[in-house]
Amino acid sequence: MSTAPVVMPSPATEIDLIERHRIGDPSAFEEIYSQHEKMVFNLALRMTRSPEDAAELTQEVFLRVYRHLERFRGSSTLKTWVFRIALNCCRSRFRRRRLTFREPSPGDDDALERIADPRADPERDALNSGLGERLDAALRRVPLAFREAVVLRDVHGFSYDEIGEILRIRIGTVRSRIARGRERLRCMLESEQ
Amino acid sequence: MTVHVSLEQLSSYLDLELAEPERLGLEHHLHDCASCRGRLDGLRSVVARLERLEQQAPPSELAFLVERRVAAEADRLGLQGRLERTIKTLFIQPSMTPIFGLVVALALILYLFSFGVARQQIRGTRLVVPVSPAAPVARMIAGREFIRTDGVWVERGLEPTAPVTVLELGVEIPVELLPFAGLGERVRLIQDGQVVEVVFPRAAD
Repeated sequence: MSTAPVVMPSPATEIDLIERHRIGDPSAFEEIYSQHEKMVFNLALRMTRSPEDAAELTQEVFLRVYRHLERFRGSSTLKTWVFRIALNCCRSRFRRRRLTFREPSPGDDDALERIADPRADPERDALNSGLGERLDAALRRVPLAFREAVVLRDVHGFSYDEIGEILRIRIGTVRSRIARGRERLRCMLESEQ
Repeated sequence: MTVHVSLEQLSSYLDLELAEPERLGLEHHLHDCASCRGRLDGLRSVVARLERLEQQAPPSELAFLVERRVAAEADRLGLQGRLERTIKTLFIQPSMTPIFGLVVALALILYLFSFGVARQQIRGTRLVVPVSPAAPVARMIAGREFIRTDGVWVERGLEPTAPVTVLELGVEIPVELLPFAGLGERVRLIQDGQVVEVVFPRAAD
């Protein structure tokens, strides 16, 4: 399965992809995978903070996507649908393993660093690494409900409406969770300075 | 007392999610309120840092692992799908319904037939219960041990011995033989140094 550069498809292309999958074209799923793999992996990584868990979760997510793709009716975008599956997988895992408020272990950040993006700019990485680590550490102390909303909004760039669809909550709740998540982060980061 | 802007309003303002009148009111308040400006700057900084977070590349083997699991799933779904399609065809297509009905009826007949045969077999089978060789039945009479062998009570030690005298008793039984009358009809014993088989009269006689 190739991992080509990500180009998000338009809704029309998405319907075409689903149709190709329905008639048994294996390349359709490969395209869906390559379009969403990195985002799903990073979402799982932000939620679990463990590269191993994130990789495992990504497999589960795409297995579910494959299993239920024929039922996708296009009422939301494919990306929204995939992210909803991804967050459901994360929550299931949290319930099973009680990772929700897991304290960071010393090996976590080292393990994360080992997964280097070959396309990333090393200088920019060096500049960002300190800030990123502190932010990641703060993020993992934010309660799950707020963290989900903040990550979807500020890391993955979803609109409030899309977040409402993914999390199946009202817009008012989306606003509230994003605000409270950001506020928690602001307090934690300012207290460190 | 100064009324500050709510956290949700500040956060939504950053996302351009406020309606025009609300946005204008908020900007007016921010112009005069250093506290809310400071809070907004803090939130803006958080958002900017989150947006700059590096996206990590997934492990190189991940695509392969997903492909393998999906292939296994495809096999499973393929088999299941074929089965479902076959069943659907049988149920839905009118032309196939009589054939399907025939198959079901045949299966039912076969089942009932096999059930009947099984019952018949159970009824006709002679129940054979393995038994261990019976232990010899023995009784002690007047300090002498008798063993039941081939319908005859034989005094211990006389089993292989054929009786020398067969004594058929009438109604009157000698007093010395009375205790042995309780054993049954025939008793082989030593009487006066001889092996005697005594035939006692039946109770009805």
